Amino acid sequence: MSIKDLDQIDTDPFVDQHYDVCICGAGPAGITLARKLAKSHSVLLLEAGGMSFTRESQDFYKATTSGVKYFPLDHYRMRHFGGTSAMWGGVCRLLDKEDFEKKPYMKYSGWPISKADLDPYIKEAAEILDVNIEPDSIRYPIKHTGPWPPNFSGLEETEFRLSHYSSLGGAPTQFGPKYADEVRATESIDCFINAPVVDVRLSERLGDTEAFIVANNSGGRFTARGRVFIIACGAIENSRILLNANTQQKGGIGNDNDLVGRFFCEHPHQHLGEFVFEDEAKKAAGEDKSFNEEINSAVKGRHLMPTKKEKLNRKILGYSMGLYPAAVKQSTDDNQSFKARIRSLVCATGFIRDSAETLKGGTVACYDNVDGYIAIQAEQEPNPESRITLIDEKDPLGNQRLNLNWAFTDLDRKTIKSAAVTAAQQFANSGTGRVRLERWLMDDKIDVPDADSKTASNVVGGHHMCTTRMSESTETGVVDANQKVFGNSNLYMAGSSVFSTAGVSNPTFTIIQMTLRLADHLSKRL
Amino acid sequence: MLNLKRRNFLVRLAALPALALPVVAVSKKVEAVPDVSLGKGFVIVNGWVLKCSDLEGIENA
Repeated sequence: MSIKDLDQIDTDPFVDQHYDVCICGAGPAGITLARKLAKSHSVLLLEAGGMSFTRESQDFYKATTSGVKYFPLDHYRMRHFGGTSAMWGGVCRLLDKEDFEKKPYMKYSGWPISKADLDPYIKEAAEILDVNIEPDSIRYPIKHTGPWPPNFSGLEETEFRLSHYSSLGGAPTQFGPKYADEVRATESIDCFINAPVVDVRLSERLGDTEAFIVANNSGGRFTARGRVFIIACGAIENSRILLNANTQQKGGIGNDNDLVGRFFCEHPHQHLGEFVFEDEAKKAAGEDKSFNEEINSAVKGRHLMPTKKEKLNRKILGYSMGLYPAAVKQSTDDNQSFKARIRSLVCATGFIRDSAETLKGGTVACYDNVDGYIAIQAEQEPNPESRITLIDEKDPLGNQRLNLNWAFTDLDRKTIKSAAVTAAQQFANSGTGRVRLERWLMDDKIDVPDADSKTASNVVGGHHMCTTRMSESTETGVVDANQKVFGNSNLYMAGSSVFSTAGVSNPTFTIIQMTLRLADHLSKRL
Repeated sequence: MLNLKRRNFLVRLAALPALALPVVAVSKKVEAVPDVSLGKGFVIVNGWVLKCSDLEGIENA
């Protein structure tokens, strides 16, 4: 029933309404949930921002950071209809079976659900995200012989797939452009933009959610009532909303054990080094289309992951190691010809490069004389000290802003270093080539590059996870296996905040799978 | 300097910036990776993880 602007209404639109479902957040999870549940239920969909980007709306996401330096938090999330899908890279991959399992050396490992619980939603999630993913193609043993493609002991091959939305010229699916018309046309959906949820009203006994308190930018406050409530605003904002809902419960809702906002996980993206091929491998790699081109929407390069057995043997977390042709980096440099020429001068001899790195205090990446480079996307161990907390400063609507304290564990560091050293060994032992490791990997206890570091690493994936994690126990999580907040009868969380662990895969595909499963659960309940 | 005639691969390896160093500098740069072991048979030269046999032909190293 159309998308309305809460800044443009004269009367309280919720006075006589009691929805089956109230959803806070119109990003990938919120829109997916609304579309599914609207088939047989009345749905209220609330979006804090407008239909597209504005600086004023985005400023609500400004926050502080501490610990391992993160990039500005208003750079990695979008506060408007469609949410962060407006800026994602479109990379998709399923979580692996062992991601859901407990591991003796990894704290807080294991999910209360299994991969089999999410597999029934692969096909539908793939359609929603316009990506070609088959259940059995997520990883496979290496069958090659010869020095290339890589045949490294203890590693398997995998693929990352790309979302291609034809209506956007093959760009990754954006939920705003793709689903706005459908949301507008659906009778059973009431959608409001510029409608941020600023508080959550509980029953007297505090065990039930009665309403979302919704604000507009003119100082209005509205009460939206329903039977079940879902918060789906991304892993950072999800925890901020629960922590700010502290008028009836000290410390916020679902936070009896001080766990809301804890266990923040990212996927550290680190550039490990460069490589040169031996002669035979160089010839084979030149003819390897998967290495050099995007084939069937799979990300170019070769991607390797440690087997389950290898992870247990080395007592490490998961990682995906990408081997990419140097031409990718060289073409980037070509766009900055003066910078590229300076780089060439610096890279001309080892002595100058070494001196330049000492002066810079960081890496000078040289790709002119190498054949490729290695980058990994690593899992993080759930860590209660890696967390979101509220700070005294408030946003224009009176809610406290947040601080992100990003932290690494020793297991995080060991995993990254182990990945690098193993890659270097395997390149040499298999006759593939030789690897130059980044300087920071030589330290005894590695200092993983962060947002302040001067390295070739991307540092983060913009993947925010685990801040209201799913668990079997109130001692170690915020929501149960159905994503319902512990201690509350009808408040649910959606999105990557409910991941129990991060795994290695980019989170969006799993977010959609889990949201479809949540929709099934709510349909049965309602 | 590295033996440039051994194999084409070594020619390219030797031409890499990090290795285009006087022999003395190379020998001073041989390091170990602490914590996670590379194992026997490897040396690190300016970050390049090499097999010890790669260095055969370096005079005075």
